Amino acid sequence: MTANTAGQKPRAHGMLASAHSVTAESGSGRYAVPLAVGFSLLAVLRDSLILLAKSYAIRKDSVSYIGLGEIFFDRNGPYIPYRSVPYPLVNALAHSSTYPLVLVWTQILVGAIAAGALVYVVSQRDAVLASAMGIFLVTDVTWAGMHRVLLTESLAVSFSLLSLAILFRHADKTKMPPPWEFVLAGVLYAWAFSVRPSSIYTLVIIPLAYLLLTRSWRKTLLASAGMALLLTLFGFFNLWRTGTFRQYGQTGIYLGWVVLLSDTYSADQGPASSELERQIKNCLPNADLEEIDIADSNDEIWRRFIPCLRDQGNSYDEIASLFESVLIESIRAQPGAYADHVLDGAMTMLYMETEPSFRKGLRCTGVNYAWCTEPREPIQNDTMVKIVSALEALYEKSAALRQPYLLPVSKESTRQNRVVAGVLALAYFAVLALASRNATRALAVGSAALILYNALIVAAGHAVLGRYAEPTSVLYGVLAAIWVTMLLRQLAAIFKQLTPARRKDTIP
Amino acid sequence: MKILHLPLAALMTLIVAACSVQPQAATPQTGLHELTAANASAIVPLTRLHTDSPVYTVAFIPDTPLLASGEKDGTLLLWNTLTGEREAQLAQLDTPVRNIAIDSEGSLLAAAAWDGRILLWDLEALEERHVLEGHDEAASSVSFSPDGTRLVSGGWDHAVRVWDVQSGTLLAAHFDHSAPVLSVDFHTDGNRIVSGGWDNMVYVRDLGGDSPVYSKGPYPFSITAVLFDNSHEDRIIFSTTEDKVHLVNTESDKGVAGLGVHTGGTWGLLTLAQSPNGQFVATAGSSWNSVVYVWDLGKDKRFEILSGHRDFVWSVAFSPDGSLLASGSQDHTIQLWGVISE
Repeated sequence: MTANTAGQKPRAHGMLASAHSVTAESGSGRYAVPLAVGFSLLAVLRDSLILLAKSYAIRKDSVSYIGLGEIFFDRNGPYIPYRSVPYPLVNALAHSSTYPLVLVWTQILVGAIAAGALVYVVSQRDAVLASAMGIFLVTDVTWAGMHRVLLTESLAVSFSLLSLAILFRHADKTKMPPPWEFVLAGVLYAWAFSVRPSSIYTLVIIPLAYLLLTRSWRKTLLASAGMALLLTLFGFFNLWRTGTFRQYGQTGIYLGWVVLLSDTYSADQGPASSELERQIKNCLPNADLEEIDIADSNDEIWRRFIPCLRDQGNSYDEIASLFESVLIESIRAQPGAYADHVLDGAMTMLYMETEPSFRKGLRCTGVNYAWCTEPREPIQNDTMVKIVSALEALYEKSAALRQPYLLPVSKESTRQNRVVAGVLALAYFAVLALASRNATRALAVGSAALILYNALIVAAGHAVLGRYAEPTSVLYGVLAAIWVTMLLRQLAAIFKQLTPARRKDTIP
Repeated sequence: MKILHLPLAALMTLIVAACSVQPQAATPQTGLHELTAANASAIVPLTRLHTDSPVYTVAFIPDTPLLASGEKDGTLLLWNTLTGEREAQLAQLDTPVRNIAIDSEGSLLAAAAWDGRILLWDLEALEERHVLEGHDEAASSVSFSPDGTRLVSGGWDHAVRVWDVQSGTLLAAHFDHSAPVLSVDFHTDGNRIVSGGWDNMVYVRDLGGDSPVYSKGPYPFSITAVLFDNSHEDRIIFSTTEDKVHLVNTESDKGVAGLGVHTGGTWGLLTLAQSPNGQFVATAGSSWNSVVYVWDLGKDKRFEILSGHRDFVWSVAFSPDGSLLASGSQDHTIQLWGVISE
């Protein structure tokens, strides 16, 4: 895999310039379609095998998405404030409550299209880089494992990847996309980053990124208009359904975890904090809100504290507002401790390996769908086991390439190791951003930004758990493709410099 | 809405007259009030009643088509289940009404208020009879003895109190619980009371006894609602914030059958009601989809899932003849459901 693969002569000179040329001249576009189609088909083949071997799965949170899909167009149906529009809509269109495999196949196909789209747009500039990306994407079984689960992660990741593909195209100054394409891109970004409500703040950054990358107010405004268009539609849909123009309701309920796990809570930090303590103590006189452990936080917060607040007449929104106010008081009272909590959480996220988990099984508790209670069993014969094991082994072998900054970090999760991992990750991102050029730089910066956003938003708004790092595997794959290609080009350049000399030496 | 001081008989006359103009769409074709739940084949939505505030509690008044409701804003209302209209506003308290109970004669209504008071209303005269003061904190649950002479109440002061209805005097106060009591019920024999609460315990007491005759727990999570099974003398039914419904035989101290788990209820169940013939148990709570589950005790399985609410369901109640089910919700509505026979 060298620059010559694309059959073009590198234009840049010197070692550093050769490294930069990863973005430039190794692709004319003639390999774009075969590469894109090839990697898409490989992705579908991979996901089909995993689906056969593992079957589909639902988790506890899946139930509400599937159920919301059933009543999506029912104006009088229940509304879950902390769910955004896209995934319930997809569930409705796929009839996931009756045909879960339609949704699973939708997720598989969107994933394959996203992989193909990224390979296609990158191939038009650089077939080598595109091939490397294709390889990292089709060997990403962490991502593949998400497609068989009826949860938001799969589509959130796939649409993010598709967004990166469009960003790459728009950052490519040799292309002149028509104006409507920027509007459609905005629509795509709004969709991609509202699949999960926690990602929606990404949309604030995108116009700024567009301005920096394209240096064009017009393009930035067109993309922003596209985003505004879809978000407005979602807002009107919620207005029709709930009487309130909004993207989703209050998500402050999740701040309970931050409030109580960040070691910043104290009842005397403000009126909301003391009110929380007072109300919790009414139900649970012996509760110690400052001693909540992550291991039992779900039971404590979901099944004790929130029901306790509810039993005292608080609505969902009032509970969410109370937690928000308590968090604000905690931050005001102990800004350093809160910042430390968020930074440590973010570094923990960067420290985590994005290994495949293949979350098992069907949690059919409280669900009486026939496909759940009598599911299609996975095929567990020797061949399938070997295939999946081989895919996992392939991923594990490439893990060091995806997160190379973790190589010098010990696996023991100490604060020191997490800090080292965080610092090395930032250095890794910075080097990639500085070493790459043009559209590839946009891809590197975009991927790194999404990884950092995920790390920060999880730490700031929820408990830090291993599974929240999994969706970043494809982003690490994109970054890995960039640096591996750069390295190969450097080696090729060195080899090229040495080879003529050797030839000269051998000439009699 | 102003309070209507009409004799109940006159009210009934109006209601009977209203039956003749009952909208067809609101009534199952089988003729609702001629049915019993014994041969029920389906439960269907009838009418939605709209309120100004979250509905914490609902209860049917025997031998009338009236339904009483208590709301977060302190309103106590009477509804005509045939017309879907408000018949009367009994009271407007300055504190939420958390629970109401009606005696078996349909002549008295007890309302547990968030300020700790328990109000007794004479439904025939439509006037307040007593205000029972004893709970130091919010009163959460009330239940009449079958003969209507006693009332049991539970409160956030951890107490279960027994009252003489005629005089309004406190007969006993029990502090078995170490946390707020969320639910109480009187046995059909009139001699036993059951309570459950935030200490995750269930206690059964004989009236006048020094200590509980039965206790169960602690469970991992709070007991949100508890009932004596009206079809089995020694059985209790209770729900938890774990979203589970338990049936326990208090004689053998064994779980009888799990009714399973209510769906998707991250914050657990809030309310239970049993049909008069004992066949059905309705459960509801703060599940994501705001549904009411109806379980068939005879078959130990879920009979019906009733969707229609948009927020927490605080209360469910069967009508005394078993032909109606009412559910009150945080979404400011009461949904009436019809139990249809084959």
